[in-house]
Amino acid sequence: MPAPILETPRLRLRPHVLTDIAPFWAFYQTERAQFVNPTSDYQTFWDGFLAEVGSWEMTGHGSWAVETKEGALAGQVSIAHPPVFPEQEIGWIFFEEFEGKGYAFEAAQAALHWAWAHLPITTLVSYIDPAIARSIALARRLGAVKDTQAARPNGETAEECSVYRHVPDADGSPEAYA
Amino acid sequence: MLPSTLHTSRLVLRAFCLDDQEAYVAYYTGPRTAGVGGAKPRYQVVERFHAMAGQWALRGFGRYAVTLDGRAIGHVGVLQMDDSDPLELTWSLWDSAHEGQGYATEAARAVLAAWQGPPLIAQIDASNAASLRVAARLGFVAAPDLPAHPLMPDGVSFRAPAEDTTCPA
Repeated sequence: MPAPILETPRLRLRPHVLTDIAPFWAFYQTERAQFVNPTSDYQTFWDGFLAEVGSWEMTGHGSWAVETKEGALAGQVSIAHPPVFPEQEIGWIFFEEFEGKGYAFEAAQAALHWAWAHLPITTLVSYIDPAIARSIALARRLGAVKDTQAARPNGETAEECSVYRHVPDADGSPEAYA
Repeated sequence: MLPSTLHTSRLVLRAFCLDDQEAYVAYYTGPRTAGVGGAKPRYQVVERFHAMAGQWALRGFGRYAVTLDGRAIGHVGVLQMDDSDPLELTWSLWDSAHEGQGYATEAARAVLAAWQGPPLIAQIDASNAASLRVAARLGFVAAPDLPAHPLMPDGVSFRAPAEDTTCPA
C-alpha cells in the first residue's frame, strides 16, 4: 500500500513522486539539513529517501510528501523505524520558505491522527537536536512530552538528542484547541 | 515498465517483502559484495532493502526478489537512481550455494524479455568471473565507451543485446 492521501485545511499529504527527489536532494546540501543527518553522497541520500517510500510496502508506514493545496512542495512528514532508532519515530522536514505558517503542525497532526487510527502502536517519539528550538516547539504543540528516560539513536547524549514522546490522548487534536 | 511478477521455469520474480530482509542483510554484510562496493553495516543495508521497494513506487520498475520454492535467493532487475543515470540491469545471488545452476541467467533473461524501455546496460567488476559469465550468456556486449561505475574501479561496462537476439526464457 502506498502512503494514503491525507487532506488538511491547507495541505495535502501524498505519496512521494519522482519529481520530489531533486528538491530534497537540494535541501540535504544546505546548512539547514545539519540536524537531519546530512549527506553529500547521492547513494546515501537515495537509500534514505527511498527507504521511507518503500517502507510503505514493507511495513505499512513511511514518508508523505506535504504540498499546499496549490501543489507547492513544502516538505515531508515521516513515520519511520530504521535500525538506528530504538523506537518508531515521527519526523518532519519543511523547506525554509514554508516555515512560520503552521504547516508543519498541520501536517504532523494529520499524520499522528492517521497513525493512532491505523497503526498497531500506542506511542511514537521524535528525536530532535536540542538546538532546533522551532522543532521542539512543534513537538510540544503536538502534545509530545520530553522523555529523559528514553533510549536515543546511535548512543547519542542528551546534549545531542532530545526525545519527545507522543501518545494518542495528548496529540493536540483539534478539540484540544477549540 | 515491468510487470510486478515474472515466472521462469524454476523461479518466481516478485516484489520484496519483509520476510526477505534478513537474507538480504546476510548477503550485504558479507563477503559476496566485494564486486559491488563491499560489505555495509546492517543499518545501511536495511535502508537499501527498503529503497529497492521505493524505486518501484517512484519509477514503476525496479529489482525483484528472485525466489526459489518461495524463498528469496537473490535480486534481479533494473536500477536507476538519478534521472540522468543509465538504466542498469543488475543481478545477484545472495549465497554461493545457489551459484553454478543458471539461476542468475534465468532470472536476468526473464527481466530482459519483459523490459519495455530504453536500452539497458550492465556494470560488472573485472574480478567477478561468475557475473561476467552471466553477461556473456545473456548476450551483453562490452561497451568501453560507457562511463565507469563509481563504486567499481575495475568495472567493465556492457550493453544489453538487441531485443531479437535474446533467447526466450
